Amino acid sequence: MISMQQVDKRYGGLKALDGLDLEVEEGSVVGLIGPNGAGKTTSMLVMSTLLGRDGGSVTVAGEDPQHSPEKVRKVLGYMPDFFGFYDHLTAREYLEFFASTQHVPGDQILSVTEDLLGLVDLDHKADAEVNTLSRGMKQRLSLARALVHDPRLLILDEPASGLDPRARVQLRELIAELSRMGKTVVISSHILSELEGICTHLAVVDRGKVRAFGDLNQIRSALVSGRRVVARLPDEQVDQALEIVNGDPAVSEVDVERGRLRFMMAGDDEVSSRLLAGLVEAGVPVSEWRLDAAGLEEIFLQITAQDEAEQ
Amino acid sequence: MNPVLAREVKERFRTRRASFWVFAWTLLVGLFVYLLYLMARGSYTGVGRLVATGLMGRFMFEGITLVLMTAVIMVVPGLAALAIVSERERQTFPLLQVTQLKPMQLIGGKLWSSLAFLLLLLLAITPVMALPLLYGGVGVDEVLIALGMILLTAVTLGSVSIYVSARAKSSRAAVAGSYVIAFLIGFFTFALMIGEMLVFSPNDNVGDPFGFQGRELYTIWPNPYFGMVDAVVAPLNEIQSGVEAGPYAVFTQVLLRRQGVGFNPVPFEGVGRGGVIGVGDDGAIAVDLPKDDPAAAVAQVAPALRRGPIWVRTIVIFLTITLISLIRAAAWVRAPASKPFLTRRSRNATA
Repeated sequence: MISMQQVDKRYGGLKALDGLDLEVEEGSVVGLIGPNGAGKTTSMLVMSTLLGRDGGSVTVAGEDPQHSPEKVRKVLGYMPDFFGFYDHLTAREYLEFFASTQHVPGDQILSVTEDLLGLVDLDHKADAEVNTLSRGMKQRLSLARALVHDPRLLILDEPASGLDPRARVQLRELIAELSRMGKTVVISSHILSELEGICTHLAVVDRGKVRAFGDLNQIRSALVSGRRVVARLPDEQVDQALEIVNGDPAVSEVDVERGRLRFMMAGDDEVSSRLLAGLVEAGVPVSEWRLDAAGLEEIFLQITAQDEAEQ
Repeated sequence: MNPVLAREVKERFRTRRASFWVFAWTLLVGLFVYLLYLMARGSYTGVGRLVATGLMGRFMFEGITLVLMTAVIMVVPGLAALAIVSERERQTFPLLQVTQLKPMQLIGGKLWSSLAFLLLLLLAITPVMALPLLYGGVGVDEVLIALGMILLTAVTLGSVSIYVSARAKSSRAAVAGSYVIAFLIGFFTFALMIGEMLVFSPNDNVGDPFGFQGRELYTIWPNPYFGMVDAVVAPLNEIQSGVEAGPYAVFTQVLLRRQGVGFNPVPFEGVGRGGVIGVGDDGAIAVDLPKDDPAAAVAQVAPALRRGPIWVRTIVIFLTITLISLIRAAAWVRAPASKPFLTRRSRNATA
């Protein structure tokens, strides 16, 4: 659906995109993660036909957004990282207006608007002026606006920014529903936990480049060298357990906290079994043995730390 | 209907402020016309009843059209200057840019929605405009011509303001820029005209603008007042009508001087008998023409009358300004852009 190859974009002396490569398959939900200023918004503006590039090639649904923006806009729904509302219009009028700008046939505008208000759970606020809606409601209305012409591709820039936890959950459910409907979604966030669980693929963006791309498991296995192990055991046997795990070459970063032994383990499940068996054979009663997968934040920190070290 | 126009009309006309302004405007124009009526009634005492009502009708018509032209110059920049910059400031502009609206549709919608309120104001005073027609002395064609020139001026100033709005970084800059250009076109051209008359006065009248006679006046070409007056009252016809001392007099005097007719009466040899053509101390154009072939006599007395009409030039200039402004404005709203356009307010919001 989207192909970006060696894309460059400069703002004066600042390189916002520096040879960015990204491939987004149809039907996938791709999360762009990265710190503020990494190039997420710039790459989304380039895909969305709002910003020209200085170099490289971009196609969206087979069309170049710089040279055929009108064709790209037919399949594209864009939601920026800010609200853009006409305060004196009601939620229904707001959607009707954007439906007409997207050339939705006049006899369908009413039904499209009603359906979208239902989808984003705003049908009870249809006749309320936009300026009276809460932030979460405005964000959902903004998403509905991006959907008025039933686009195949949705580009959502920091959609959960500034929302309370309940509104975030609602938004996540909505995006999951859109994914089930077969939409391709590109979503950015610097709050990593927002993306975990809803994205089929992740792209770690930093300093204008995609540093890692793939599904979460691929990135995890490719980039994270160890897995964190948490073992719960009686306080009086902690020293004995420490002696055993410290003696294993696969173990590092050992830490003890209130009856819990935490350490990083290099290796697979076989190594884990061997360690657990060693403790049990030594008479240490292990009441819990947990292998934590590396989270997005850990992966992200590891990738960006690698880049900093390379530079 | 253009979606942008439909939304703007809905939003703009929904507020109570719109009703208030329409009410205040109608009241103001009504009072002004009553004042004109009182002035006209005072001016035309002693003439026959039929002639007097005709002259009063003409006096009111001229006063109303000049006031409307002034209102357009004062109001249109204020209505149109915020069209694009306000969308940028409330961050709705990128949302419009990624729709399937073409830049010219966007600009056109903005222009017509800005002028829609002006059209409502004009519609609200239609009965007042019809008053001079009831009194007589004015033809429907003259009313339509005057309204046409007023609307053309509105479209031109609206287009320029939209262009300024598309480039402006803040609402304040857009309003200031639009008014500066509108005042340059509408009012500063008068100052330029006086300058031109002073510079090009005949040698024996150097420094006296009233000595100016029989030369082209380039500075009045883009002036909407002269364009309108010239379109409504062709100077040649005015000479033949005999008397003209209404609110247009000052404009017709300048237009006649451009044609070679001035305060100094010009003697001529008519077909039937000689006569004098000129402007009296009260501003009235007094003409004494031979009855059998007046046009030939006028042509003889002032060959410069063949100098082309101003209103055609005004229309050409205004249409050119309109076209260039709209094309340039469309270029400024076209996406993708080479860099994001941030107004001062949207930059602060993003930061």
